[in-house]
Amino acid sequence: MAVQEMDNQDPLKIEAELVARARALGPQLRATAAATEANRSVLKSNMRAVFDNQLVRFFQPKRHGGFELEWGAQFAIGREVAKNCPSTAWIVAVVGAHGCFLGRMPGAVQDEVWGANQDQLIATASVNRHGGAKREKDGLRIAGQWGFSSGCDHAEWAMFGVHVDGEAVPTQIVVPRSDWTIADTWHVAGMRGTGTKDLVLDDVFVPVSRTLPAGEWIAANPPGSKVNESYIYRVPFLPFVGMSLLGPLFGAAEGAYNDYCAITAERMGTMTGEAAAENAPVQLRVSESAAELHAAEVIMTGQIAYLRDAGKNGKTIPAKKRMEINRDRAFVANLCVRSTERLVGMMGAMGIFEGNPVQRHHRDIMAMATQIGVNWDRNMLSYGRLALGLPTGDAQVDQELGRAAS
Amino acid sequence: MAAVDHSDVTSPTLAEILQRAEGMLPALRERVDEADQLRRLPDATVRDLFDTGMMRILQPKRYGGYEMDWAAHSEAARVIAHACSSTAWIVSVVGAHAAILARMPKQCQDDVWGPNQDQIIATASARKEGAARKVDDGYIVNGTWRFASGVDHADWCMVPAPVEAKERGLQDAPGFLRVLMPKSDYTIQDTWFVSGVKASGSKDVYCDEVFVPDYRVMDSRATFALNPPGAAINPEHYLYSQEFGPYFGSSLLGPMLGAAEGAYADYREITAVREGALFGGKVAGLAQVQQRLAESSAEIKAARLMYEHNNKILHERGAAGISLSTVELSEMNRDRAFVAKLLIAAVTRLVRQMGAMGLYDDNPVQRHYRDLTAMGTQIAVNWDRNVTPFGKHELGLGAEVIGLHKPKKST
Repeated sequence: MAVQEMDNQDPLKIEAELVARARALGPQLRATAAATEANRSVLKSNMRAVFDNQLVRFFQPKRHGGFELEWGAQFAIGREVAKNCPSTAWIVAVVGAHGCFLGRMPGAVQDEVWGANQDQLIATASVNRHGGAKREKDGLRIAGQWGFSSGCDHAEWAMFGVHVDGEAVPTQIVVPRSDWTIADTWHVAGMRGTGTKDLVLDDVFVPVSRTLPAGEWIAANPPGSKVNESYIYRVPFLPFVGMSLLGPLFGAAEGAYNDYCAITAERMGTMTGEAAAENAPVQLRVSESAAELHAAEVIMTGQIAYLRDAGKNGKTIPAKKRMEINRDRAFVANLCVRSTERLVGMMGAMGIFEGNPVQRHHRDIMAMATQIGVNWDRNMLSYGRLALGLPTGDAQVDQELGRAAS
Repeated sequence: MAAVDHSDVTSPTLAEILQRAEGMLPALRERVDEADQLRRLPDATVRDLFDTGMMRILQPKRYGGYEMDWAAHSEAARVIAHACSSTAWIVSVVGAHAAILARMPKQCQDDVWGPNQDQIIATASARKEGAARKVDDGYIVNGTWRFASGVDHADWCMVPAPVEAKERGLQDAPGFLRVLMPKSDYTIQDTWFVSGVKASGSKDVYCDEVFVPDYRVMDSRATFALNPPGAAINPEHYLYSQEFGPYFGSSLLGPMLGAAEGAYADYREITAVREGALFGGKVAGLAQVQQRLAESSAEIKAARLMYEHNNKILHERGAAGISLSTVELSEMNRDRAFVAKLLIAAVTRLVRQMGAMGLYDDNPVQRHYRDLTAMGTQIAVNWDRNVTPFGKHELGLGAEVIGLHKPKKST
């Protein structure tokens, strides 16, 4: 289906169509999952298929050929891709969601990025390794290195969060590929195919038109909301952002579960010659993992419905609910980890071979679960402090609840 | 590292062999990346293993070995695993193959240790396919076997082979044979693409219509049973005469415990000075970090006490010449699986709280974690297989012996 045909459709129908396209790509992604890992970057051929199927346009503004889908579309699409290749799912769902990161920036820089080519993967690099920015007349002068730039090999533009003259709150900047270089630091245990390398800026000038203080960017009504229609460019961004990795994480756990069941149903113990599926403990573990995945799915479905309603209808999300959303994301990630861990440890030595899909999914899930947005301590402690009447450490939340920082 | 002179072998004391193991650690740490990339031990490490006598711990004195007690073997591997689990695996699991050979007929031992007393003796213990067919004076062997750790450095390899179905009943042949072959008899198939203990090089071996003389083939069960043929020429040590299953099945506890201890030490060192990557602040100051460290520490300690208890039982019963009863065996199997579970839980908790830095291949805690979880898939510590029989016995449903190499249903 071409983009023109989908233009006037219900966003939920387009979402369903993109999920179907992701499903159709499944066999190709599965067949190349090992090669993607070895390449430590999404394969060019798969990236082409992602663009051709318009899988990273879900949050791209309509004025630049995108779909402006409902929040949560990245969960559904990422989940489907991750059943076969979590690394490619990360590129689609997490990096693809950067369409609305850019969609909240000033209109002029959006025109620069999407004007020439609407097939864009917009990388970000937000963890500062060293260096920073200095303010100059008409822009910023920047030198330094920033980490965790997933998909940068395939990006023409990248967004950085840089600290200007030592300011506490960073500034978002948009930089073309000609101005940055890649430092290949991505030698890791899982999600190898995401190519989450470092980006280096070496004395680069960024004009003010490509910059926006992060405070304005995440607050309600950032500059991009003047040129783009959807609520995703307009809402206070914090309760929304941070959800994108849960689609790949959940889909990977679901994929691991499906593969485990398919393999175990057929499996005879290598050394014992007994049918693994006949063991009551194996059956119990399958049930427990399935229930955990179901719990995760129910929680995410509820969260997505809530955020869609709040976004569309301009409802304020109260502090307690924001904390609850963060808590639930960490909890869902933990459910996914536990569900898979229980299964992969029980495949015997076949569970350690790199070609075993359950094994790869397990490593990928462990890797995704290290992401700060689903970090257990950070999200659980804040909610626990809230529930116990203490300041949470989140300035906005504490102000809203009238709790002074301790 | 200075080589030990083996020309007039005197066995080292336990303290001496552990000191030699400690001495290897700096070089092993330097080579861990190389070892993982090679997916076998670096040649320099194999030289170190021979020079320090690590492969001689369970080798008979008659062939230049040390004939040390079981605990020496486990302990040396535990220490080595602080730096490199794959090397520890070769010392412990593959090193124990020396005791298996020592239980076989004299001619087998002369063939292997006669020309060269520095040997890594591989075994490929899981049969993919293959069998032995009786001919005059021997067997013709065909097949592919898996998990031949250290096979790249081995001159000899053992495989378990069933006698071909049509031969059964016709010959007075046992169900499963242990076949000893020189490296000219088999080819190595490189299938070892795995997530952990990559350098153990546990590849497949393949052989096609190979003739093996009768004396290099023996009943698998008899090799592990009381008073096997080799006990007559190696009469001094219990490891060559007592039932061997309980020992061999314990051979990966040393490497697993060592990997967990290594992970703990590295985690502690890194976390003591670590600042949060995104938000700054000393990670060590967080109560939940302190608490999880304490929990992992308690698990590792519990595992170590159980491991020491296991070594003590194995030594005492061996020295006294009293076999373990079926119930005692099922208790030992239960405890080994439990030790593995404790260690994996302890290290998983540590690696999971390192954030994204815990992901990088060269993070030592990540390395120990991958190695430990890979070792934990070994059948001797498999949870279901090793704990269920004990529960069954406790509930009055009878005790059963579980053993390896139960023949597959013939196809």
